Amino acid sequence: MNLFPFFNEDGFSNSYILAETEAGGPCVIIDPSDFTIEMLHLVESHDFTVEAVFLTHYNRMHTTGLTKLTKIYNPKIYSPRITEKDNFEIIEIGEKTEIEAAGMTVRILNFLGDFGNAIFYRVSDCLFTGDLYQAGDRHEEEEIFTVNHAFIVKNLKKFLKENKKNFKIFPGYGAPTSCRLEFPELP
Amino acid sequence: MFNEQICTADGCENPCADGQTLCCRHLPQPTVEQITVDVCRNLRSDNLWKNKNFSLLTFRNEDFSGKRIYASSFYGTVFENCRFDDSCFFSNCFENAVFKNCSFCRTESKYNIIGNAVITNTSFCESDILHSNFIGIKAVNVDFSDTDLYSSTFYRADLENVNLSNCNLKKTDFRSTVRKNVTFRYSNYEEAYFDEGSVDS
Repeated sequence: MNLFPFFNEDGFSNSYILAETEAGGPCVIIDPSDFTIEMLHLVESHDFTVEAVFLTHYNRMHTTGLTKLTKIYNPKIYSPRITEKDNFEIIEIGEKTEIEAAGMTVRILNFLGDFGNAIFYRVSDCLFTGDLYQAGDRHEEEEIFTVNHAFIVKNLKKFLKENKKNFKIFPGYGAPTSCRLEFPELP
Repeated sequence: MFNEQICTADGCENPCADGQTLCCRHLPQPTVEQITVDVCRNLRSDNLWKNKNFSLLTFRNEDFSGKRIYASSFYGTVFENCRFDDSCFFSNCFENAVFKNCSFCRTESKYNIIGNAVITNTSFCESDILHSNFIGIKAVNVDFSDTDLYSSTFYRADLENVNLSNCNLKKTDFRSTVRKNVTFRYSNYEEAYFDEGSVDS
């Protein structure tokens, strides 16, 4: 898997382009935010076509570029709970646990349970956490998407204990990190 | 961008070289010194390192100035007296690496993980180090002067004699850091994140 992080100056958020190949063929974008000319250049310079877009949560900040993106490519757009109507078709993830796209298996991790309007994606050993988790993020009292952050951390730690891998974490904001750095206390 | 294959040896979680199922430590190979020499010989003339795996190696007295290093893994690697001036780093993993007497002046660095590294007598001056992860590092005698550290995190870092003068520290995370003789002169430290866990000792 090849991963290309991209920093969006609109909203200061991270977007990620994933592809099986280094150049040519289909790719997926996680949280495209504003689909800028620089991002288009990144996609085109690798001769990719955007097959799917995955949103970690439905938010105007993450969807502003979709109008442009859908004019250029014809991607399937996946999102957890959709809260507003848009001009393009968005597929609600619902109870799905994994989706095949661009030759990759994108697994859905819902750590919010029934509150779930935001999710993690797992592709290979990488976790894409969107707004739910950032490097050094241990604000246990903070509320995010109506859920106490401690609840997310607890579920994430449970998942890591079960999987016992040093997952790389790619958040919606800030630097990438790894599970070993975030939770050194875990085996 | 990051190597995904983990060593299949019992209880080992180190990353493997491309196409291998065992890490450098478990592969039947010559000594680490010989590997290092071979690696350096092969790559001195190669300006671009991409998707390389140099985990658990030792580099000494090497000049890697001007290199472009993308998506490579240097997990637990030791760099001693090495120069990376005017280099470009993008999406690399330097977790648990050791940097001793190294120079990274005027480098461009984005989306790198340098967490848990030990950095001594090293300069990163006049660099752009954006969105980089320095979580849990131990840094002694390190110069970051005139450096852009936008959105980088030093969470839980142990900093001693660290020069952060004239830096852009917007959204730089210094929570839970222990700082001894750290200077922020002429830097916008009010735009960085500090918390009650941060200690100036």
